[in-house]
Amino acid sequence: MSEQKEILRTEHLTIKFGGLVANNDVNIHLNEGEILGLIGTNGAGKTTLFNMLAGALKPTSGKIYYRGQDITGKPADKICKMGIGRTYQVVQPFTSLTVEENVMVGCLNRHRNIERARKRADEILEELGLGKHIHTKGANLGLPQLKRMEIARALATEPDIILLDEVMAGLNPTECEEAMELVLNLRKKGYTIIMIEHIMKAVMNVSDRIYVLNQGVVIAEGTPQEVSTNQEVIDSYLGGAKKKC
Amino acid sequence: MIDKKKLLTPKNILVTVVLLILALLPIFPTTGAYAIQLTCLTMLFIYWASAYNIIGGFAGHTSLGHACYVGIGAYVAVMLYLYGGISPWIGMFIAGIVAAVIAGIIGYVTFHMRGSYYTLSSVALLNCFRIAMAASKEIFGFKTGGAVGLKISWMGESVSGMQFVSKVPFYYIFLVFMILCVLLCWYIKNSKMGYYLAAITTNQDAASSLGVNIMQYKLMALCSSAFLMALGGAVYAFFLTSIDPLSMFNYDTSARIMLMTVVGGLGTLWGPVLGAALLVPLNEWMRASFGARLSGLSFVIYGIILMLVVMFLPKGLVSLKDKYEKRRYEKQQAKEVAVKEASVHE
Ligand SMILES: Nc1ncnc2c1ncn2[C@@H]1O[C@H](COP(=O)(O)OP(=O)(O)O)[C@@H](O)[C@H]1O
Ligand SMILES: [Mg+2]
Repeated sequence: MSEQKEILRTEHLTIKFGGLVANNDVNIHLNEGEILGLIGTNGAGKTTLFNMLAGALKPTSGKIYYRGQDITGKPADKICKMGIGRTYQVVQPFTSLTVEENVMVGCLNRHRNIERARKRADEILEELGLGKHIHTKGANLGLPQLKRMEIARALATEPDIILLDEVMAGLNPTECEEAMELVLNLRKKGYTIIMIEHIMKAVMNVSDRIYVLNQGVVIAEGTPQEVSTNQEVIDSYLGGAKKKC
Repeated sequence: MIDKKKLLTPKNILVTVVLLILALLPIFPTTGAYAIQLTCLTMLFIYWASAYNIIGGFAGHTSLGHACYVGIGAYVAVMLYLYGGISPWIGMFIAGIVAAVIAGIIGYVTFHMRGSYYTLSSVALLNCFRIAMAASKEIFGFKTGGAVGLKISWMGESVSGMQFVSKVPFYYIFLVFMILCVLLCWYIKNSKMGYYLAAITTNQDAASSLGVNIMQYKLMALCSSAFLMALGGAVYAFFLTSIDPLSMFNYDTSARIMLMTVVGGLGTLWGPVLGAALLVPLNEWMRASFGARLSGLSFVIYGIILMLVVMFLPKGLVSLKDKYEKRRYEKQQAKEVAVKEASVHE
């Protein structure tokens, strides 16, 4: 690989919900073209970290830099415009809109014209294997398709970085394999990815590098190999929560 | 390319026929003054209900004081005409801008908070304006007439002064306004703004993570709605030739506009049209039948209508069509299944 270029970093990122410190002095960085895994037990603060990166939550203290620019506390729509897209762990479809319209809302981030947005949405949905669902209402879609639609919508905004929050949770092994393939394909297309995932096989296979979060603190960082042999990680996370795809 | 089959849908035919009748109605010798007056009001309320629908339906912020912008439009246009000699054709646009700015300020403050703050403040705003206009004798040194209001004195037939002996010119103004407003609503609904508002009303968080600036689009909806309300208010003032705080900043009018939209179908293109087309004549009929003897009765009837609609047709009268189509589809499916089963048994 050529020289690695940093695209996103956090410095001493901390957020408190009342007495609970959900993220405590989190320092991570992300290189362009990388797939970064983010693991940790339930309630470790992974989604909260995503929410701060995507502008949905303002950190109590600390900084977030995107391409060297301070984006701390910027609103979600600005961050999306700058090129960071995200999916939600708990899917957030526009229930009254069709799948196509859901994705069109994302496409309109870069296109003014409705028909062009519709065409682009159809292309993305076709690519993600949702072609036959375009006219289904968001409310009537199954979970695996909803998870894909989340990804489709995020891609539609034409981001550089895409934050995937447990897109494989609730999928069966075949769907999981497909999702892994999808993530690898996204990287091939030039997206930089951070993925939160509980399914160890998936994270270990796909990620270039992994951060382990425990009770709001980063306890380990490294390649899948390094992380999986780290004693602290094994004690706090891998020992109990090992899951198979 | 224009597809002839697509143009000749029952809906398009119906709309064309209705518009033709409306366009020709004043020409029929049998049409009386009352019919003109009633149709004028109906078209005006279709216009207002459609304008209301942009913020109340598309953007999902109920307003219970939307006649406030009617009053602002009426007063600004009339005072510009009386004291500045400015033609209402120009004055109404100034009035529209004034209403949009005031709406924008209220929106900017209340949209920051989640919940029904805009709705609450809309009532407060209406009452503030009505009371202030009734209590104050002048604004910036110009007489407002206080509670008595202002009269546009007759200066002779004039197009630029929007003064006509007959109500027929107003009839055509309202007709054009109504058509343009419905077209504008159609345009908004099918534009980026329409999609964004639909996204905002169903899931605000998801919308903003997809790059939607919530505040910007809500303000665009509110300001354009207020602008249109005020435009209608300005013409309405010249139609009536006199205005006063109670009838312009009117709570009843506000509630009726909201009700028409809900009854017809909130957030749909044809809902406000249908709602106003049914409820304005109903209201006039009730006023003629029961009049002052039972002035509270109309409110009771409104209440009953609203309850019935909310209970049986929460998406308004326009959803009847969907229900009918769904039924037909289900029947057809059942038939197909029956045919299949029959063929299997053979
Ligand atoms: N908006 C919030 N308000 C209060 N507490 C929150 C909020 N969001 C998350 N938390 C708490 O922060 C902790 C971390 O949650 P989360 O980031 O969702 O964990 P993870 O995604 O790693 O499972 C949990 O204890 C959760 O209850
Ligand atoms: Mg989570």
